[in-house]
Amino acid sequence: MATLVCNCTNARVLSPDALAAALDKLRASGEPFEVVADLCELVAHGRFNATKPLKIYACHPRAVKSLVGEAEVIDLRAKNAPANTTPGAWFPVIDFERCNHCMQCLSFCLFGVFAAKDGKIRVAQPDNCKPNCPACARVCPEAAIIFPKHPEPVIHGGDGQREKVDVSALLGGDVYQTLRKRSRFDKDRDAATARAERCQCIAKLQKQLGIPPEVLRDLNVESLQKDK
Amino acid sequence: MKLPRPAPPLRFRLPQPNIPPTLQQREELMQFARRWVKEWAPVPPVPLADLRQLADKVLAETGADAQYRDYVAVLINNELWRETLAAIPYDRRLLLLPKCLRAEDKCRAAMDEFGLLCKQCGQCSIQDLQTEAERLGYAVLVAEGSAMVTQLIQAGKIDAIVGVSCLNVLEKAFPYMEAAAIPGIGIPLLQGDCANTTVDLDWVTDVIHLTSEDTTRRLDLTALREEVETWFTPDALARVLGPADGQTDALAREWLARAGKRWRPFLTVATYQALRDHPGDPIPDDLRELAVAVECFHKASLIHDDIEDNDAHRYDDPTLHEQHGVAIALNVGDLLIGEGYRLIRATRVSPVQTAALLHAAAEGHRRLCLGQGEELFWRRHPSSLKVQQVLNIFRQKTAPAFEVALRLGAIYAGRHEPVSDALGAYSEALGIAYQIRDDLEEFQAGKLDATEPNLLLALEQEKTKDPEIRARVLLESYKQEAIRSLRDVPSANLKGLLRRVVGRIFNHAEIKGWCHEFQARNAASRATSDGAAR
Repeated sequence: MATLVCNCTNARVLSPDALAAALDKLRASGEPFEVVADLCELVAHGRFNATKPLKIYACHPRAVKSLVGEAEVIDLRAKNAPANTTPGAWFPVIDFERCNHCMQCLSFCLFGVFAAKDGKIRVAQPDNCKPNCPACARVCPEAAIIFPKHPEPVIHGGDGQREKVDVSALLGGDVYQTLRKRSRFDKDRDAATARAERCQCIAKLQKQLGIPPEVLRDLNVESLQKDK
Repeated sequence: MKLPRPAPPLRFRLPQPNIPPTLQQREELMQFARRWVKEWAPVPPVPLADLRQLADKVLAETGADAQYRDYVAVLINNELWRETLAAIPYDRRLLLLPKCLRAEDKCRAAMDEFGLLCKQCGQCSIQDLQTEAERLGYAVLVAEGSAMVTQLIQAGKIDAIVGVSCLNVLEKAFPYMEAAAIPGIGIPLLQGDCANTTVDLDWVTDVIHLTSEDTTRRLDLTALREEVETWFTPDALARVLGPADGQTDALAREWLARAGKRWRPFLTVATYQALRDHPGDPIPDDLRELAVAVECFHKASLIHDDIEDNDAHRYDDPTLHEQHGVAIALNVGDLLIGEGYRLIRATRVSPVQTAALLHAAAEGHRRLCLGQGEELFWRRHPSSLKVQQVLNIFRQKTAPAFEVALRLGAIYAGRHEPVSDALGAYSEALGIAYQIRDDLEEFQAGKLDATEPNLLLALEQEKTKDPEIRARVLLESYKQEAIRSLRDVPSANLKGLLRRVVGRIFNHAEIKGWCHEFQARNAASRATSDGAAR
């Protein structure tokens, strides 16, 4: 079995501790293994040619398997890894267990990253993709498109289904109202948010400063917590 | 002195190759497309292929580069829909902004199923555009890519769209817009690389505010300015002022006829046109006299200024006192002030209006002298000035002249009272912006004069990192402040016209050199950063 460790040198989405521990363990075991700088980069440029069966230390298994095919994957991804402005190779990875070849990504992408042949979608021009743009993944009705280096859950290939967004249902009612509700100036939202913030701040202060509850009672906090 | 709300940091980037590189070129193409559509009046919706053919015609007529075809096609399509969009109420319109306008590495905003939820950090232009549009009643969406947009269009529940987008997405969305015949105006992003993009913000602001309530929207400001220009030929001046009486008069006329930007008389005329019942009607003779009066005051102040500053040149010619000596120059300036008041007194309006006109002129005159006096006393004991002090001097010495010009137009229209406060605030912001622009030009020309209060010097002394950029941001802030000051103006005409005047004064030829310089700087930094997007 070939063993591979992706260092994720460019995007750095792996947990440094987990990566170091894995490397230590591998070295101690004496088994041969190879460290690659950026697995995505190898795949994008057709330079990935490890023999199977494969064991890969990298990020989320769904992402890695969609990237290289069948493999045993050890997940070293850091929780909440932030976005990196220079992520290195960046392109959509299709999870064909989810994809139903609806071609929405093909018609959506402006840069010709996708191509279709015999009714099957594929990533034809990974280099045309725009770094940090996950837009096609958001469009995909099956949440089948993965960007392994993206910070958001599901888009980065973590398990779980993204909530399927039925935009047409959302837009079924009054589009204007729906959009205005999202505005920071929406009156309803403002009052609710403000109240939530006030409650949060008071609770936090109370904890930090050790304010006895009776003091707050004297301050008539309830009136603060009500909508103005 | 209170500084205006700061404009977001400016981004200087070259447009992509198939978009004209300078704002001036883009403005010219847009103006041309506007006139062309007015003349030929094709009926929308026009399919993409036909639109491209129209674009080819416009390109051929303007002699512009053939690669601007798609850009021009967008401009033409915008003009086709312009009037339809103007008639649709703000609260039935959708403003679509692209996510890529944000500051890519600073933005902390989250996305929901529709698009970006702006956190209003002030690091990019999205916040201001969204706030202004929502204030008017728009529904606003900051979207990523074209998918949401096409779905929205297909949902068929949108009455009109104002969209900012790269040429790619505009092309992509176009067939849907055309099929649904939704009125839409698209303002092209200047770059299509999806990060830290730029757009002609004044265009966006202009389209957001477009409304048929503003009947001055079709008023051709270029033509108006050209008309004002014709009032200052020697013959035209003789018709207004009467024949010259001796050498002093001749010198005064000559000075009046000399080159100038004529912004002040233009403002008088524009204000009147906006406030009268039928803005397109011919300009009455009286108003022409008021406009000449405004220019008389302005030229008088320049002549006296040159003496006070000991300047030997103006408009590349010797100054009046350089040619004829201080005594004669002083006297010509005095004559021009008298001429200004004489012209105002001669307008055939009610005595109450005459009194109001004279009062506005005298008040402006007084404040101008007090402001100039502040500067002159400072010069006797020059000390380093703080930025705010410099801006305050600008406010005192530049704003009054704009203010007089605006007020005379409004008083003559008989509608001064309801707009009085707004005109004061507007001229203050406009005057300061104007003076900052002057200082920037001097700075760029390498002609900083340390004997005058100068914003760039003050910024340097305050150890500002990049004084030029900071001055540009301040200029932008005051421009926006000028537009904000119009918010409560009860006349849609005046509001629209004065907003466009800001663009007119600051977007024109005068800033050409500045663009080139930044393009060179950009090109250099791009070469070193391996063509990255920032």
